Amino acid sequence: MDKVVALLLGAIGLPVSAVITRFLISWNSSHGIFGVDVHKTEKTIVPEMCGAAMAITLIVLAGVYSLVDPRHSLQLISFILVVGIAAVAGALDDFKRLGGMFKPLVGLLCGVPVSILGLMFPGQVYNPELGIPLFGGFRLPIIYPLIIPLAISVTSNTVNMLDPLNGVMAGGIAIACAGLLIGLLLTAQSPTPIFLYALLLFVSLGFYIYNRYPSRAFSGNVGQLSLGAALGAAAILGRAEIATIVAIFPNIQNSFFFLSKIRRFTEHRRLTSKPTMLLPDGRLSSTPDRGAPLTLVRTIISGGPAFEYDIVKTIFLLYLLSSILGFLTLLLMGPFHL
Amino acid sequence: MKLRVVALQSLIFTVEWGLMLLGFGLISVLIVPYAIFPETGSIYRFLNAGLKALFGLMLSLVWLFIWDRQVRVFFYSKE
Repeated sequence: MDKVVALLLGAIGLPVSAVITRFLISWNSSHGIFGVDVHKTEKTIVPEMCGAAMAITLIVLAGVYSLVDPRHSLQLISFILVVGIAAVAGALDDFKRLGGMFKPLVGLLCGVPVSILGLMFPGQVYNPELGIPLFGGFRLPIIYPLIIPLAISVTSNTVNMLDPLNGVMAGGIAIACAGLLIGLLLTAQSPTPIFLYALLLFVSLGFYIYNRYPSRAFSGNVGQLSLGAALGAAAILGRAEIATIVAIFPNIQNSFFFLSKIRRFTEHRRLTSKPTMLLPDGRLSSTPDRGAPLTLVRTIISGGPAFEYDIVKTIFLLYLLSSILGFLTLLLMGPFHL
Repeated sequence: MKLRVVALQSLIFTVEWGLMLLGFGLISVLIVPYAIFPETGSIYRFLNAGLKALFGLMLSLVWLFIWDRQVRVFFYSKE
């Protein structure tokens, strides 16, 4: 029964997120908050920072769930703090265009409340036993609280880095969370992970309605960072760390190859050599510039140019595969308690 | 739809997934149960934890290196 309530409350995230996104499209448009869709030949103007709808929905519904089921309120408070800090930092970056080191550092800051609350209330926020598929698991009482800020910084930034085309971030995270949610429904003995992943899935889908190709709303850093931080927090609070990493393999590959080429934290807009270029017929092509980063999109079009919509479909297929692997990871872990 | 890309990426993801499970298995069976220093004081507990974390970090680097080679061989061999 607890699982059904968690699932239903998470599902409310879809209409709530969609309604708030619709409102933000109008509000941001009337306040001049726009971005340019650089992958369209006509350079369409699209309302920016509408991803704030996802952050608001995540925070509000996590708050509601903590009232519905107060046994898990400490976990939900830490989740709310993580998403809140990430959203504020993302909004700040959207308005002020801060430096490349800002987001990784803020990502670290986002995880601090989880570590502190976990140390203050042992066993009530996170479990420092890392579940390992096939091999049981092992306790990391010293290292685990230190890794939490790092893990949330990685997820928030890796989600932030893979939103180059219409709908990729929201659709991709929704696919990743769908596989994990099915796995958790079969393995998790507590409703909290089910609620968190259902919430992430449906909130992403609600935003995806307006963010899908051709986009009527852009997420902005506020949405990207808060969704990524929320995913990291859900992985830690829901004991699905390894499965979540597996489910976001496309993000991991994209970030790793970007950083290994550029060798520093920097903003995409500050790159002198872009990984892709727009052809006059509207297709995207890999750049001949050898200094450009090897992003996932560039990997996909390395064999020849493609239209944005086809690239997005290919990325979704990759998310589907990694989501299935994430699901299998959870099954191999077997049933678990928080 | 870029089916060749999907097929090659699927192979890369599956190999990396298998390596990841193997790596965590190695850590849980060969590294975690044994203490390098006798755990007689808190400083030795921290030292042991640090060394085990270092081993985990080294395995992660090997994992990323294999990932890197696969992508370069499949997609950027001409470059």
